[in-house]
Amino acid sequence: MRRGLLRPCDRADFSRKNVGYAFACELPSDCAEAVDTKRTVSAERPQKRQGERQGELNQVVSLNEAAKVLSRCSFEINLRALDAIVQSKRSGRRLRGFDEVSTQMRTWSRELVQQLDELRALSCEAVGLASLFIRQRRMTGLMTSALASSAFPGASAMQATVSATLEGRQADLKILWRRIIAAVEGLNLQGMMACVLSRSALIEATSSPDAEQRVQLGHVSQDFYKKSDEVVEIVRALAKEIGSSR
Amino acid sequence: MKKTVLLSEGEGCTWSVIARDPERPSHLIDTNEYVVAAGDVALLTDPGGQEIFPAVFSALSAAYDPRRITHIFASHQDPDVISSLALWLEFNPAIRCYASWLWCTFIPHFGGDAQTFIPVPDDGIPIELSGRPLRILPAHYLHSSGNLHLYDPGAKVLFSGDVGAALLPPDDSSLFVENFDRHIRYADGFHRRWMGSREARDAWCERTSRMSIDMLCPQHGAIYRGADVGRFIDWFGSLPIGILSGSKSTVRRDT
Repeated sequence: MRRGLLRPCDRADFSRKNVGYAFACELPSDCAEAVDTKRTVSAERPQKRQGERQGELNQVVSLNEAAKVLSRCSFEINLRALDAIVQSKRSGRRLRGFDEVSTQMRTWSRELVQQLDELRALSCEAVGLASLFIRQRRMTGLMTSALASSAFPGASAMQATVSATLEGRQADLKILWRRIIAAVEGLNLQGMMACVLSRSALIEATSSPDAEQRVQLGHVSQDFYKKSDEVVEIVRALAKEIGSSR
Repeated sequence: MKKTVLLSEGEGCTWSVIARDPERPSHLIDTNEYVVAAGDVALLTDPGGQEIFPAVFSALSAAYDPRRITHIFASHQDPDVISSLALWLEFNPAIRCYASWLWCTFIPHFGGDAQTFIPVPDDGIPIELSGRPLRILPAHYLHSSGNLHLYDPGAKVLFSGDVGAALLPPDDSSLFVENFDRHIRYADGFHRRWMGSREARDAWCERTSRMSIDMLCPQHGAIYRGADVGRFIDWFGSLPIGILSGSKSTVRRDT
């Protein structure tokens, strides 16, 4: 069973993206679901009989699972940004820059939610098209076997029709996946932008005259970065996974 | 799209229902699919027909990682119950399917091979899902000649296949029975026509009335909870059924 997308990076740092300095991020080393080692014989995961298939539906599952983690990230960024906005408004003019950056982060997290909704809609569409394709492929196989052993006059024309239908289904699916890949690339760009914003937040945090507040806001900036970086990591892993098979 | 709703949670096990698709074409009967999840595995009951596979798969994916589905339970052989099997096996060829031994050479016409099926004997069998004990119970001739129900004694949930089914009007989207007397009108014709054996019905009612059941979950229509479970068993026990008994009346759609 593949759990690749649920394994974000153990560590992330700014330097990797040449942003200039490093934050240690304590992301979970493995978010995979716990495995119950006491499983009984009847409930054991059945052995794979035909190897692990990387079919159309598995790609959709990867997409959905990534969207779930990204939703959680966007929720956390939204909450953190709201807290930061309140804090900087209380501090007045000197933290106007931090206020502005936090507002941008919040806007981004909301846009992320919208983009994920669009991605989910595309994923539902992909399940529908993939189901049609799988059914058509099965029917084509059966029809091809039937036609191969029959010699009626229209057999070859019928075979051509059946094959054309399958190709049509495949083409529809390909187009949809191109749209999905484009949407994922869009998420990646937005995530990178958020990483840059996090850096701006750290710079703005130094504007506070209060040393204790500087530290506090520094932590907020770190949180922004950790979450933005997690988004980028997940999106890149997803892009790699769905892009490599197409 | 269908929605996944959590019904019961406890002792590391959840029961959820995938139900109510507002976009379902009217020529297809509405169905309920139930997901029993324990540990890192899950079982899907009566996964439905191939036409509704996209709706079921998408709704399931929103709540669970569908790679957790390791087993399917088929209460009987009807197409609205199990004709999506080939698509589930395409997604994960290792999925195994519990079905009455009687149907294990019939259902492969929808998909699967000899390795796919776990034939269930007539008396039913106890099974475990990641250590969670479940019980497959016989419900033969209700309505199919090889018919099974699934009971979870921990959650006190009984998946009852077509028993308890109701053909609700399109504007009734309630997930649970809210008014038993009003609801049961939609179950009446269905049970009169589809349940052909009084002996089988009496045996089922006798057994279930002794079981502890908080939720009776049919494949079609609303779920019975609490006192409505007992009301349903009493109602079913006294319903005139049998070959063509009252069949001229209210059944307009087949399953």
